[in-house]
Amino acid sequence: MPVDTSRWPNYQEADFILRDYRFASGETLPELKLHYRTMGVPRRDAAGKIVNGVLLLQGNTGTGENWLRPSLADHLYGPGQPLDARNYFLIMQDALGRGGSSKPSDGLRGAFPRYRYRDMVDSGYRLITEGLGVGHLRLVIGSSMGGMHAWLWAEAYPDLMDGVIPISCQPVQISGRNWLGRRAQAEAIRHDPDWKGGFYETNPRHYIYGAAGNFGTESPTRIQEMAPTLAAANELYEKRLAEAAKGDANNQLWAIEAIMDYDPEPGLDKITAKVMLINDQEDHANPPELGTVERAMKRVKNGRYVLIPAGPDTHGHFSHFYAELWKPYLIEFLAELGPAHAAAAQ
Amino acid sequence: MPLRFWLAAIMLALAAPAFAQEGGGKVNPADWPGYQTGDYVARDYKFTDGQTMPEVKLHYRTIGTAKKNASGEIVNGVLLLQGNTGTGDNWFRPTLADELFKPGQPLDAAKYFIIMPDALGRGGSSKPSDGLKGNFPHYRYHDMVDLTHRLVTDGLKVAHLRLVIGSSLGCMQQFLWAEWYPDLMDGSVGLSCQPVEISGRNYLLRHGAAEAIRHDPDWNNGNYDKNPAHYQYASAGNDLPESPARIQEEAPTMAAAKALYDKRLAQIQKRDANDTLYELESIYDYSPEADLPKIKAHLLLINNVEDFADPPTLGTVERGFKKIAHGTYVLTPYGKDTHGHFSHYYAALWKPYLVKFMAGLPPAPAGK
Repeated sequence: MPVDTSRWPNYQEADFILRDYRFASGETLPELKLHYRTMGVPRRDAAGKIVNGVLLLQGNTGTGENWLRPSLADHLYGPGQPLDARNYFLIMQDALGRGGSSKPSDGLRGAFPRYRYRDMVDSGYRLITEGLGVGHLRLVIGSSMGGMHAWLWAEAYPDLMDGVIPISCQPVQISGRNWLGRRAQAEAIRHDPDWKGGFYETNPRHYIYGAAGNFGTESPTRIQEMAPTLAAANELYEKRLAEAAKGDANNQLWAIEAIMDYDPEPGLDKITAKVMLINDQEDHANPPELGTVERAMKRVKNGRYVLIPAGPDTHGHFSHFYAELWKPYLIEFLAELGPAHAAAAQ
Repeated sequence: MPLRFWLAAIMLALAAPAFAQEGGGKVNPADWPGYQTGDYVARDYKFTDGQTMPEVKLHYRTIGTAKKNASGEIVNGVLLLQGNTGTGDNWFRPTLADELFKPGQPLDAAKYFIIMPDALGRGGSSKPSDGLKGNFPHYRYHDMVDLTHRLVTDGLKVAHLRLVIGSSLGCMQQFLWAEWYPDLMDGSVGLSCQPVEISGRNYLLRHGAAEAIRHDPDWNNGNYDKNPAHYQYASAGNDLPESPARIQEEAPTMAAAKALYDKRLAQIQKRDANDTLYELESIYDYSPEADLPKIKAHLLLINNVEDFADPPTLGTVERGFKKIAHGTYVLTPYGKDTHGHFSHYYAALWKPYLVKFMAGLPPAPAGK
């Protein structure tokens, strides 16, 4: 469904090119492209730097346009809403490896650099600072993968933002069931007989049959409502299979494996921004009983952890796509965030 | 200990690596009173899909002490139904046997005649890897229950069961036993399942696992010489029956999680693809909800709050239980000793409910 962007002030899309970009692995790309969209009203300091930025970081699938889904946009950016586009400069990039940003399927295929979260955060930082001239962010909000990135942003650039809101994630090394599930998806692609080291002519199709059954991101209760009988569940499987068949195997594989350097826990005490982590009780990737969040939050100076209970409108991990579920916490958080960066108040 | 027990113990020790993959050793079955194994053969058996087999074998083990009626039929049977993986030997895990079968324990082998079959498709029972491979009949739960009923009544001459207890696959099948043979048992106990049609996330995952085998380029409609190996990479990541908190303890770092993945992959590589596929697909006829009102036995279902296959938020159990005349549903909370779906393997977690349930059962029919 096409998104109507005309309702947003100053909506723009563009590409930012990083030349001779060097990845953490040592691999390089002569041109690394990051596609992005911005909207809202920038405010600038004396040096001309934007000081009212709000950075929105996407999850693993889709693009930066995820943030314009009605279940997010209709609740967040309108007049009087918490991220009112008249007051903020909102930045939504396509994560490296997705959408209009550089990715294996652009042509390099199996030779595309093995990017990791570190590269994604670093290149995103250069986009907003060098490309967009942002000097200060009021907020970084990220969901799922973007939530994990938000932790890394707060650690790497502690003075850049006032507040950080990761949604549907944990600030600990990728491990446990979460890693088992991801590794299996990656290995299924690597061992697809048609994958050929990433240099296939037609997209490999053996790996998609297992992947189509893994709907770990949705609440099991919502899945049961969608598929209350075997026949309905079979249809849902077929639909997911058709979707999985459309994806590019390399893009998927690179996206899955990018997480392998995610280990934010030791750096949590570097964070100076105010932090609010919002998770859902039914999040398959981040079950609350692990105790990992409680352990890690002890190292965050100014952190709050909100756990949304399962209810008739919650969506497990995907609750991050439904702002109605977490907007009240966002409003509280903004009210307690304190004055904006001095320059922004000018 | 008599010599033959020692030999059995040594053989069990030799077999230990195979058992280790199930997570936990086994007590020595031969240490239990009356331990016996046997095979029951059903001849010219016609499966619900129309296929027939001249001989279908069910392997089983029994322990305990049979009480018989005037016609010589056993009336103090306890039928224990296994989950999807392993064999009837699962019940000899120390976390079950040492909690259940000893003197004074709820299934005291001095009082009951306890039957533990290998489910059709597993262990010593008939299965695709015996030789028919892709030509093995596509058995369903219906066939599994019917065949086991023949083993119990025709093979072992059991006229009455004090209890049926089943976990996971066996839990779903105890609902079917209670519906189809309502006068056969006094009580029926299910661990880790739901009394509704296979659907929702549970179906998606199983179907995905089955389809991954069917689309393995080496599967060849089941008629392979070398076990297909492509499908295993995805299934090694599905450690869903275990509590995510226990997995996190086992794999608190990426390196430890990698090692766990590799260990699981090695275990899966030992399993036959057809056997696994048939197991997965046998559930496709599971739809017990409509017949729940036929159940006469007292019925106890014990699920764990972290059960991935049966999340309590679904509301399906509550819906199903409205149709059961004498039903009790217990949901065990999360704790540092719980294991999600696999909580069924740890009798210490649910034994108190079993004891209470047995105390409330109507008197057993008079035997001799």
